Amino acid sequence: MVKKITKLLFIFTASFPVLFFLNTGFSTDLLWKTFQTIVFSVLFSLSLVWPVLKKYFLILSGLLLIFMAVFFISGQSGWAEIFGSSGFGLVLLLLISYVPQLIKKGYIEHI
Amino acid sequence: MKKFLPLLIFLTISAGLIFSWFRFGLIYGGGDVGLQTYNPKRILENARFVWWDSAGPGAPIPQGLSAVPFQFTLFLFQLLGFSPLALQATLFFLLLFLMGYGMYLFLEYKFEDRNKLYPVIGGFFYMLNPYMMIQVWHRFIHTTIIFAAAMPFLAIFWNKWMKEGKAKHLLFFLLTAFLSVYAFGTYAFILAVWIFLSFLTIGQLVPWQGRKQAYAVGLRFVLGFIVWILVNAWWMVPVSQISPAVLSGQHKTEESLVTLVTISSQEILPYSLQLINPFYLVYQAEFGTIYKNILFQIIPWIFVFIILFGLVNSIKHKAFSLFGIFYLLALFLAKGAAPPFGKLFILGFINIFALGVLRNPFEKTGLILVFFSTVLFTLGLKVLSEKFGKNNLFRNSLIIFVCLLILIFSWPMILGKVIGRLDKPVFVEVPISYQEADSWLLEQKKIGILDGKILHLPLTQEESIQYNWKFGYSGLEPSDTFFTAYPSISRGFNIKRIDDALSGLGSSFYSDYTDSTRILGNLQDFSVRFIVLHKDVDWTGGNLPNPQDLEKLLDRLEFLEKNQQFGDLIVYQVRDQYFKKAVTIEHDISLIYPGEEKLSIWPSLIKNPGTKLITPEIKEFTFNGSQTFIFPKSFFIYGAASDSASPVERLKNLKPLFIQTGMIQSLALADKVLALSKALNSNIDDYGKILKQVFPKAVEINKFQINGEESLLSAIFRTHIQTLQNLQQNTMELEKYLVESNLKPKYFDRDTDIRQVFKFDVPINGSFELMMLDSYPVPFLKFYINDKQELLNGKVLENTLSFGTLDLQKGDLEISYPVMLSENLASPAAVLNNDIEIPVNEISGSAVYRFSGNVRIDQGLGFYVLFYENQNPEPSARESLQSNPLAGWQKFQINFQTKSTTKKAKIVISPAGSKLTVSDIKIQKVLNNQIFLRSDKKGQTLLQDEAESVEFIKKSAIEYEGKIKLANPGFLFFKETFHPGWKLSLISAGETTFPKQHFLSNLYGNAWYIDKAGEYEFKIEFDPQKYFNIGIILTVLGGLFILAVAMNKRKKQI
Repeated sequence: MVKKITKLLFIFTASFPVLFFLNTGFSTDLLWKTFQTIVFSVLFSLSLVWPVLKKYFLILSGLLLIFMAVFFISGQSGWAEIFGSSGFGLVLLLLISYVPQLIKKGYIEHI
Repeated sequence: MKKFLPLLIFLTISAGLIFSWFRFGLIYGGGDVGLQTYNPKRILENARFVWWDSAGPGAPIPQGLSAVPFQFTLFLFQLLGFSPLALQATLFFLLLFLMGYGMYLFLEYKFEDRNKLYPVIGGFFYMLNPYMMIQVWHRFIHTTIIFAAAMPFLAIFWNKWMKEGKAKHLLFFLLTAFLSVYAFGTYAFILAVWIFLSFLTIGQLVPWQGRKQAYAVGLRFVLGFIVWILVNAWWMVPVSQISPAVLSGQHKTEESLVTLVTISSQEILPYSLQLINPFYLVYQAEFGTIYKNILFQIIPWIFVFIILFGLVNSIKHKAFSLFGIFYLLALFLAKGAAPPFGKLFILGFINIFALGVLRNPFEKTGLILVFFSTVLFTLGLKVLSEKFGKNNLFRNSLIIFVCLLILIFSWPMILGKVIGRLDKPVFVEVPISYQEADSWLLEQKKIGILDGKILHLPLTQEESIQYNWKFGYSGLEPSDTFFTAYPSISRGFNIKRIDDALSGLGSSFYSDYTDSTRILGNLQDFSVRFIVLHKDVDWTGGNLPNPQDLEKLLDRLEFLEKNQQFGDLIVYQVRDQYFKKAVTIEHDISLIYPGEEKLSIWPSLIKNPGTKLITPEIKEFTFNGSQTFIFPKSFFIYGAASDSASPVERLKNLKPLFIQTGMIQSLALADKVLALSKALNSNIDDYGKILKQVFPKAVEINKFQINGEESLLSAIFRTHIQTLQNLQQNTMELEKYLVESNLKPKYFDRDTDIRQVFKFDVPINGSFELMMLDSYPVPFLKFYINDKQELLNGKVLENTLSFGTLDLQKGDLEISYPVMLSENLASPAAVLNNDIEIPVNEISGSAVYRFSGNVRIDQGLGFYVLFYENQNPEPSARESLQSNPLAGWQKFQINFQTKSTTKKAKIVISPAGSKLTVSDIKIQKVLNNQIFLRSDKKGQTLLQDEAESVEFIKKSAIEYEGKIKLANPGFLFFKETFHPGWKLSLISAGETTFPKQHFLSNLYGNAWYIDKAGEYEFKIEFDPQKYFNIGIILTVLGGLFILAVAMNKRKKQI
C-alpha cells in the first residue's frame, strides 16, 4: 500500500506541472481551470496506480458530458464548458493507458 | 438497379437542393471569394502566371496557380455556352453530389455490409450536418467546399493504397488530389489533409502485425507523400518560394494568436461537439432566431448522442476502434485553444510561424472532425437501430426520425437560404452596363490602344466594396473580373507598401491639398489610361468619397475626356498627349525615404509634380536627386494621459480588455510588468525603511574592527552600493529598451506634456528643411531636436509649413513637439427629438478631434455621444458615457478619428432616456500634424534629350520587351508593383547587361538606373515564374514515375 501511495504521489507530482501548463499556461486567473487541473492530475494518477478505477472514471466522464448537454440546453454555457472540457479531458487522459492494448489487439477488450 | 439506387438517391438529393437554391435564377457571390464562377476565362488568364497584373498595379499570387484545373474545367463549360448561373449551379450540384456519394462509398467500403441503408444515411448526414451548413456553404469559401467534396475520395484511395500497396490506388489518389487542388489555395488545408492522411495511415498499423507490415506502411506513406509533393510541385514550388514573404507581410504571430484565442473562446467544447460555429448561428443569428429555440438546441445534441454512442461502440470494434480515437483527436484540434489543454496550441503558435495558417482551427481542421463524426454517427445509428432486433417498425421509425431531424435542422439548405443571411441572401445581378463598358474598352484595345490601366473610382483602400446593385453586392472588389481589356486598379492588397501607394492615388481626388497637376502626375505615375467612375458604389458607410463629387471634379479636368456612360458607369480617357506608358525613361528624380510606418502624408502632394520618386538602398547609392524627402521611420505620442489614474492602475484596468479581445500575450506581459513593479517597489521601500533604522545605530556601534582592518559594516554597505549601481545599470538597460521600442523619447523625457515624437534615420549629412503638412494655428512651435530645444517659426508654403533649415548628421534623429488643441470648432447646437446636434466647423480627414464638456445628470444613468461623418446616416462612432446622478457636474472627454474622406461631420448627444444638462462644450482638433524633412538646395538633375524614346510590347503579364534610346544616363521606370523578382536585361551590340541597382519607384513600382547612354534592346521579366517551370518538370517526372509503376504488371504492388 505504501508503495502504491508513493507511486501515486510520484505520478501526481510529475503530471501536475505538465497538465497545469497545458491547461492554464501556469496562470491562476481562472480558478476553475486550476481546480480542473488538480482533478485531472488526481484522477490520472489514481487510474495508473489502480487501473480498476479507470472504468468508473470513464463513466464519470460520460456523466460530465451529459451534464454539459443539460447545462447547455438550459442556457448555462459557462457550466457546460466546465463540465464538457472536464469530461473530454478525462477521456483523453484515460485513453493514454489504453494505448498499449489498442496497438496490440486493435481494439479495447476490457475497459 | 439496386446497385445504382444510392447513386440515384444522391443525384436526386443534390438536384433537389440545386433547384431550391437557384429557383430565383440568380447567382450567389461576394464575401471573401467575390465572383469565382462569373468569368472563369478571365481568372484562368491570370492564374497561369504567378504575377497577377489584372488587379493593378499587380501582385505576386502564386497560390492562384492551384486554381488552374478548377477554372479550366469551368472554362470548358463556359465554352459550351454555360452562363454564370448555369456554371455555378452545375458546380454546386457536382460538389454536393460528390460530398454525399463520396462519403457513402467510403462508408460502404468500411462497413463491408450488404445493407446499404446506413452508408446512405451517413452520406446524407455528411451532406447536411451543421458544419456543412454553416462552415462550408454559409461561409461560401470555395476552397472549403471543394475540400469537403474531395475528402471521402482521398480517404478511400489513400486507405486502399496503404492497405494493399497497389500503385493504381496511389494514382487515383493523386488524380483526386489534382482535381481538388484548388482547395490548397487555402494553405491550411495542406496541413489538414496530411493530418487526416496520417490518421488513416496509423489506422493501418493497428493492430500491430510486426515490423514488416509497419515498414511496408511507412514506406507507402513516405512514397505517397514524396510523389504527392512531386505531382503538386507545379504550384508548390512557386508558392514555397514566393508566398512566405507575402504572408509575413500580411500576418503577424501576435495577430494570429489573437484570432486563435478569440475563435477558440467561441469554439468551446459544447459547440465543437455539435459541429456548430456559434458566431454565425447564434451570436449573429444569420439564419434567424429559430436556432435559439430550445427544440433547435436539442436537435444537434441528438446527433452528438448518436456520435458518442458510436464512439463507445467503436472502441470495441476492430474495424472502427481507431476512428473513435481519431474523432477525439480531431475534436482536440478543432476546438483550438479552448479548454482542456488549449495551451498546447498557443505554445505551438508562439514558436512556429507556419502554424499561423491554423489560426481558425475550427474552420481549417473542422472537416476532419466532420469526417470522423460521420463515420461514428453511422456506426452509432446502426448499432442503436440493431438494438431493436428484428422489430422493423421501431427500427425504421428511428431511422426516419433521425433523417427528419437532419432535414429540419438544415432547413436553410433545403429552402435555399443557406448562402447569405436569412433576410439578405447574397444574390448578385451584375448590371448589364458592366458588360457594355467592358465591350467598349475591348474595342479601344482593338483599335490600337494597347497600353495603360483602368482606374476605378472611388478607389477602395480595402479588398472589399459594396455596390448598390439590384440585389446589392458586398465582398471582394470584382472589377478586375469584369474589365478584361486592361488591368484594373480597383482595390487594396492588404500589403502595406502597395496599399500606401494606392491610398495616395485614391486620395489625390479628394484631398484638401490636391490640384489638377498633382492628379495628372499620379495618373501618369500609375500609367492610367481610363478612369471608370462607379456611381453605383455604396460609399456612405465606408471610407469612400461621394461619386457625385468625383464626377464634378473629373468633368473639370482638361486632361480627361468623358467618353461614354453605361448605366451608372462613366468612362473617362486620359488624352493621348497626357498619357504615360508603363515603361518610361525619367531624368528628374527625387529621393524619398518613406520609413517603416504607414504613410499619412502622400508624397505626391508635397513634391514637384514633374519629379519622380525613387527609394534607394542607403548604403550603395551616391546619386543625390533633385530633392530628398525623409519621412519619419516611426512616430508615437508620449506624455501625460488624460485621466488621473497611475500607470500601474491603468495597466490593471486594461487586463479585462486583453482577456476579452484574446490578447493573451499582452495579458501575460501585463502580469509580468505588474509583478516586477510590485517586487521592485516593495523591496525598495523596505530597504529605505530598514536603512533609516539601521544607519544611525551602525555609526554609533561601528566598532567591529578586525585586526585593524576595514569595518565589517563598511564592507557590507559597499557591497550594497555595488548592488544599487547594478540597479542603475538595469535602469539604463530599461531606458534603452523603451527608446528602441518607441515607448519613450531618447531626449527630453519629461512627461509633463503630451508630445508627438518622430524618429528619423537620416541617410546623409546635409541641410534639411523641417516641414509640416497642413496649417498650424500658432506661428511659433517649440521643437525638441535631439538634445536641443528650439522655438521655430512656421513659414506658410503652398500646402505645407516650413520651420527652417537644420544641419543634420547622418544617423538617428529625434524630433518632437508638444501636442496642442485648436480653438473650439463647435457650431451652435440644435435640439432635435431630445438629441443635441452639434455640427463641427472646418472638419478635415484623417485627423483626431477631442469632444469635451461638463455634464450634470439629473435623472438616469448616462447618455450616448454619436459621431456622424459626411452623409452617412449611421454614426461612425458611438460612445456610451455613464455617470452617477448624485455626482453633480462632471467633466467628460472623448476623442474621434475622422476618415480620410470626411468633409462634414456632426456630434450628437443622445440622452437615451436620461435628463441631463451640458455646458462648456468644446470640439477641438488635436494638432499632432506629421512632419518630414526636405533637402533645401537643388541637387543633381540628369540631362534630358528630346531624341530619347521607349518602345515596348507587353508579351504577357510577366514579360515586357522593347527598345530604348538614351541620350544621357537615366532611370527606367516600370509601373508594376515593386518586387525583387522583376529583372531588367539590356542588350547592346550583342552584349547583355543586367543593371544591378533596382529601386522602389514612386513608392510602389520598379526603377533601374542606366548609367550609359546608347540604344538598347531591353527585356523585363518576372524571374520567380521560373519556379513554375521547375515545378512543372518535377510534376511531369513524378507523374511519369507513378504511371510507370502503375502500368508495370510485375511491380503493381509496393
